[in-house]
Amino acid sequence: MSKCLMIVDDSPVMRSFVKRTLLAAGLPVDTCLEAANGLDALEKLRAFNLVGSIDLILTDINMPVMDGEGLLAELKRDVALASIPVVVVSTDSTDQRVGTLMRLGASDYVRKPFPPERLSQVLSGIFPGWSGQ
Amino acid sequence: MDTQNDARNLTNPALREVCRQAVLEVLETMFFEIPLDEDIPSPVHEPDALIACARFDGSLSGWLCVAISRSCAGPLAAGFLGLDEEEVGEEECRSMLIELTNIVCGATLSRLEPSGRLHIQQPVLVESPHICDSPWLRFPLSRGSFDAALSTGPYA
Repeated sequence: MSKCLMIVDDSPVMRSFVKRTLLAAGLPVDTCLEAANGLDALEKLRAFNLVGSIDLILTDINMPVMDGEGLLAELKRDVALASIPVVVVSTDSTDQRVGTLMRLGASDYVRKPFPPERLSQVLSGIFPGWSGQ
Repeated sequence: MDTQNDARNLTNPALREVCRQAVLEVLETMFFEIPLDEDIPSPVHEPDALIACARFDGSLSGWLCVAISRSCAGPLAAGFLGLDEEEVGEEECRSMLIELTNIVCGATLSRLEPSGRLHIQQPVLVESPHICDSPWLRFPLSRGSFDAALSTGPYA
């Protein structure tokens, strides 16, 4: 079944890289939305009435306006959005940071740099029944 | 006093090794580039290079700079974005270099301070990094070279 995803990163080239990696892995993607920071993501989720239709959010941590940690906290506070799985994709991979994000409710963590197989491995856990190419 | 081992830049063998491992990991896993030769300590980056610097602070502070020859910026951006080289413009090259610097900095710091609390500032493109006395580590690529410099001291 096709998935509806959102990629949150202030770097347009990183958003393109993640999207390309997902498609190359064979994930059936129906819609792939993009946001430049946490606030932009929340506004798009609410403005376009996407509550209930997003299957996964992949987010960076270090972003202007609202960072990934702030986004995660806001998502988990909002009953309508709290069940969306959130995978953090970031260079910031210190033990303390990863621990904080997992406690906040992140589904998984992908440290940059990552090989394409790492993202497939994480998505297999999020979408049981799907296995990457 | 062991000057080399106490140095806070790439004259320090331990820092040089950490930086080398980080650069190789990033180039291979996300840019699909394998350097042609062993990395070479170099006093300067290439004169026509595009340069980006990232500062970091927290349990460790300092900066990391990446300089790539203009001739390899297009191929690197194309590899990263999955595009043909003709489809890549100056803006994509600059954005790619900023992201590349961010990832190399993160990969280096996660090796130096795996349990630390660090913050990497958004890398910025610079004309001249004001670190002329700091050594660079050069990685020859097929179309040019990739140079990195690191200091765990203040940005001069």
